[in-house]
Amino acid sequence: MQADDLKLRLDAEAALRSKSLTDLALARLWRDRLSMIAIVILLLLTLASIAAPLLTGLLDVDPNTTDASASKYLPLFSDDHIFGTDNLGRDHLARLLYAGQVSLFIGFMSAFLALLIGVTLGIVTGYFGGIIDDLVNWIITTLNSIPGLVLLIVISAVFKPDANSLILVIVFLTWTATTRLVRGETLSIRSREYIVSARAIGASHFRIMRVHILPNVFSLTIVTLARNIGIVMLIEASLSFLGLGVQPPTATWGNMLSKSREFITKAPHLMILPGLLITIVVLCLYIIGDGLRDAFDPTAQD
Amino acid sequence: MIKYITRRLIQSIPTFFGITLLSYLLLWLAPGSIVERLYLAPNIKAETRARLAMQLGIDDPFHIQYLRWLTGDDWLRWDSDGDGVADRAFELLTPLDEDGDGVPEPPGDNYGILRGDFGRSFVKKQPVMDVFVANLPATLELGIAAILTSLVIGIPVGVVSAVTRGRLFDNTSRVMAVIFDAIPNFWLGYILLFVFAVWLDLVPIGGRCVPNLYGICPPFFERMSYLILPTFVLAAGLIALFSRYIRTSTLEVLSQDYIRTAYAKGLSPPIVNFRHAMRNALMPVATLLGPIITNVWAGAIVIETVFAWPGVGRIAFTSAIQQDYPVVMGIVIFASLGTIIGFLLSDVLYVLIDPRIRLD
Repeated sequence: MQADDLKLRLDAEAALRSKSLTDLALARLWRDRLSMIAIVILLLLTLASIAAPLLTGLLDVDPNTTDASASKYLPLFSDDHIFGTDNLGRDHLARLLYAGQVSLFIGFMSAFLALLIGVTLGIVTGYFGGIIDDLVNWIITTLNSIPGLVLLIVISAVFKPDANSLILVIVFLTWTATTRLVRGETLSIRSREYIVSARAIGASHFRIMRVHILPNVFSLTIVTLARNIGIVMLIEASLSFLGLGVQPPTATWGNMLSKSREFITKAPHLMILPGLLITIVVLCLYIIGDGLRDAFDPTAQD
Repeated sequence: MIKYITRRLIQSIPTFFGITLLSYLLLWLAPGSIVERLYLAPNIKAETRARLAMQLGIDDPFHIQYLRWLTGDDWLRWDSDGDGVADRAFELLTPLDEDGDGVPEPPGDNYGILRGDFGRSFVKKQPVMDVFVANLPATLELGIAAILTSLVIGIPVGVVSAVTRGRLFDNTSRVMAVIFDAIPNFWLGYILLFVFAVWLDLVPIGGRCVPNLYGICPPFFERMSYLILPTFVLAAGLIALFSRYIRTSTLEVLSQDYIRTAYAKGLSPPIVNFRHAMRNALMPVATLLGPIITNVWAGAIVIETVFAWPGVGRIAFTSAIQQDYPVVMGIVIFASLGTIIGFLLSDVLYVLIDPRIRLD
């Protein structure tokens, strides 16, 4: 009887222990139907973009084959071109897929790099404080006081970035939000008892930051990641639309819009589809972001 | 209160300093020489180029150029006896006769941005301040119209959304808010232009009024059709922002005791919701003023370009393309000042309308 009791208790404890915050959050996310739909749509679009060479090969179309004959501005659902053709007779679907590669890459990469910088700087400044903290804070306040798009347009006009350097420019402007978030959280964690005891038993600063602070701020930042990717993709689209982002012939959804506005009366689908794709992807990312926030909310009830 | 405002003003000095430093650094790092850009003569002789570069001061080290841009050069080399020739100089930074030909360089005539002198536009050949002032009214008109529209739509939607929580209106408005957040505003602008201007022919295709010889527009109520689309597109994101914010804060207020007391007194739901709850729910809106100003600046660039609206945003964009640096830097600094003041105002406003906050 007593042994059974003990076993039961141990089982219950194991069950409790195995459910970390992350497990709980993932379980909640799994049940969140709207977020799951958004994740599936986003995955499908991303996979389609990555598999662009394969898909266009299957459909026997090429993003760069121009056609000087009558097949310019073909409408949607034409015989050989499901999404029609553009002003140079290039297949629109193929271009959308290849453009998706660039747009998604810029979005994911910039947001990821900004997260990396934000988490590192945020923990270091929040943990050590002092003059580094003041300096970083001054830079953050300064960058936040300049309307981002204004600065971005100036930088892009002056330095004319390509897809890769555009990522760096966007990161330069977006690392501040995560840094502030992580810094604030680190400040509040720093003075807790378990950090003090870790110091007392002689743990190094690096170990404390890595083992005791990083896991605690991580869920906070992962929640903002999805939303940040969406914001970055909108920024890239605006810039490319203005002709200051990635330059043709490299296509992105933003610069496809920039070209297509000249043909809006002749071929509205050239304008509608890239914008629709941006909207769908950003919408999915925002929905996933909201879903993650709810899932990781420690006060949520199951 | 005055102490608080003073402290906040002093805190924004290093920020302003950082902004000027960053924007000058960008200009300094820019590839290509200003001499070529200014005189558009690719085959000037080497010595002429060197003389022009010296006169423009672009050979000087960074800190001297920055100082000159910030504070002007009229105190670096000046004419004390009024004969038009410089005879005194602040020798530590700039010698009187810089190129050593025995003739003193002309006296400085720039007052620097701290005294409101942003230099002259390379392209328009007129002071940056004049360019800015000439285009500001159009941007203000659009920005204020958009902010008012978003308040008028966003606040009631947010309150009703909170009151009908979980029901059809709430769900629809929340979905709409996320969608309007995700739509690229320039794309929305073009789609609306296509539908309402090209297809249905209800509104003009762009611009601020019928073009005329004087370049002056009649008062706004005589040209509302020009204002409708850009205002709506600029307001779309703000409506989403306001409705979400107001919804959250109304929900918070509705769960408080005094609301239950009001119901217990037998007051009707509309009176409780709009008289008692909304007043307190509106308070957080004050904190949004700063972010909104940033938002409107950023939106103005894109939307003024889409709708050919002759405002500061479009000038910022065209100047950036033409590499008209004085104008670009002027606008960066004006826009940042606007943002700093916006954040300051929202803090002050919040303290003023919420008696629970004490500044000690």
